[in-house]
Amino acid sequence: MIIRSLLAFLAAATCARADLVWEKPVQEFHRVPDDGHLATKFAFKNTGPGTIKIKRVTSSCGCTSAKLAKNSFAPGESGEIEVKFTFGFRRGPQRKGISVTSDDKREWVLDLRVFIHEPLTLAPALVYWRVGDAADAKMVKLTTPADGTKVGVKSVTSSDPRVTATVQTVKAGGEYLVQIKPASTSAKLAAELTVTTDFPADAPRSYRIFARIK
Amino acid sequence: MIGRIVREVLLLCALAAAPAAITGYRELKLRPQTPLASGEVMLGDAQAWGDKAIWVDARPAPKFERKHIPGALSLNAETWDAQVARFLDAWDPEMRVIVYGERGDDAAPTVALRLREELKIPEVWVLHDGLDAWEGR
Amino acid sequence: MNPARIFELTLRLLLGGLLAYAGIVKVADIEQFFRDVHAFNLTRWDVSMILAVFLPWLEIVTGFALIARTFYRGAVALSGVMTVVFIGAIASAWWRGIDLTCGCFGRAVNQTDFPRHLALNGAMLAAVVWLAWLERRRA
Repeated sequence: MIIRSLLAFLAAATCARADLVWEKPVQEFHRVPDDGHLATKFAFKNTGPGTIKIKRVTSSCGCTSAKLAKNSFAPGESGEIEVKFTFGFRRGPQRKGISVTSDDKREWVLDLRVFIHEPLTLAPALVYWRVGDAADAKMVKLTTPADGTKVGVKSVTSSDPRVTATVQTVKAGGEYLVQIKPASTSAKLAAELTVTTDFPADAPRSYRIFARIK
Repeated sequence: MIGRIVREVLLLCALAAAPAAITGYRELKLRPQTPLASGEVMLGDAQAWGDKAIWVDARPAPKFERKHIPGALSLNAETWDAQVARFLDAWDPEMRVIVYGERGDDAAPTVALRLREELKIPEVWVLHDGLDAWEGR
Repeated sequence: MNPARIFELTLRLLLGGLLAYAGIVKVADIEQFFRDVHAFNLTRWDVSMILAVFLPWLEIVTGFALIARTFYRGAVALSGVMTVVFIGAIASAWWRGIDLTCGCFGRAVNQTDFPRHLALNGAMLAAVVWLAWLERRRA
């Protein structure tokens, strides 16, 4: 944890030393597949003493396009990179890196994170205990995205009788709470809980929660 | 006649080699290290974790089959559902997860993001420069 | 000059000019060419780098050799070899479903225009073969 914060600080410090300062180099969005694509801008300012010429802006994939209106930025000047990410068939967490290189070979990497939500989100999708831990129940929250889709949870079944699950409806079609409890944590165990739903009506999807005793 | 053609080919290659060597030297010398992003770990540090670490290959199956870091598990976006259970069987809460892809690629950061956000696995790192770092560049 | 000679001259200048131009464009941005070579996923990082540095200069030298008609037979042979290798690489990428514009996998969203690339290189190969045949006849 400390090391991670230190690394984050070092990364930020490096960016500060270089002359382009980014307003928000890491951007996170939550969308549904029907949105199709996402467009955003990464704003920056040249806080250095000299003019910066941006030689190349590339994303690591053709599904993400990155555009810059002009290349040269005088000291104190601001600019922005327009990024468009097309979802295609992708689902779940997506991360696209956009790399910006200047004429004098300096490089910055922008981080675009898009969560393309399935109809039902499981948080978390993994529950675990260590052998010998108290056999307390763990909670998994099931939610639907904000676009108004209603997903009804019909049942939660366990692949192993030693792990039981009960569902509680917080808001029908919108939010559920699954309580998962092992009979005992004296031995290692690997189980799967299957959440069956009623959505979409023509081909209802089920989701998996992983339960482990390690 | 073949002999003459071969000689001329070799001569042309030699003529090209000289400026190529100069351009190549300039290119490699002036190329700085890509910056270490947050959540990334350098190869040396990752290897120092020894068997407290589990290595995950985020690249598509054909690439994994051709070559992968010995002992690494395949877990990629395309076949996540089929592979994640196997990963969880091998994983232990005490371990650090090192996800690698290729230099400049999104596969590893995407898999790492998913492990952190969906499964809430505590220690997930992305190998800086991925398999390219392993191959010694 | 008779029409046959004019035709050979045109072909030679076109092919040589195209090769030299292609090489110059690549030398201007070696980093980008490296990414393009590596996107084929046929070579290791360091081999891709060597190719990215050497191939453009080979194209330039060969192109000029064709135009100036020096080391001519070697130049024609080299043009042929390079074009064949390139056609092979493109076909292989098409077969494996690689998106050459970004190196990702996934046929559904592949943005590379394979037919166009193959047609262009096919035409170049035809030109090379023709020049070789003309040279053979001259010998």
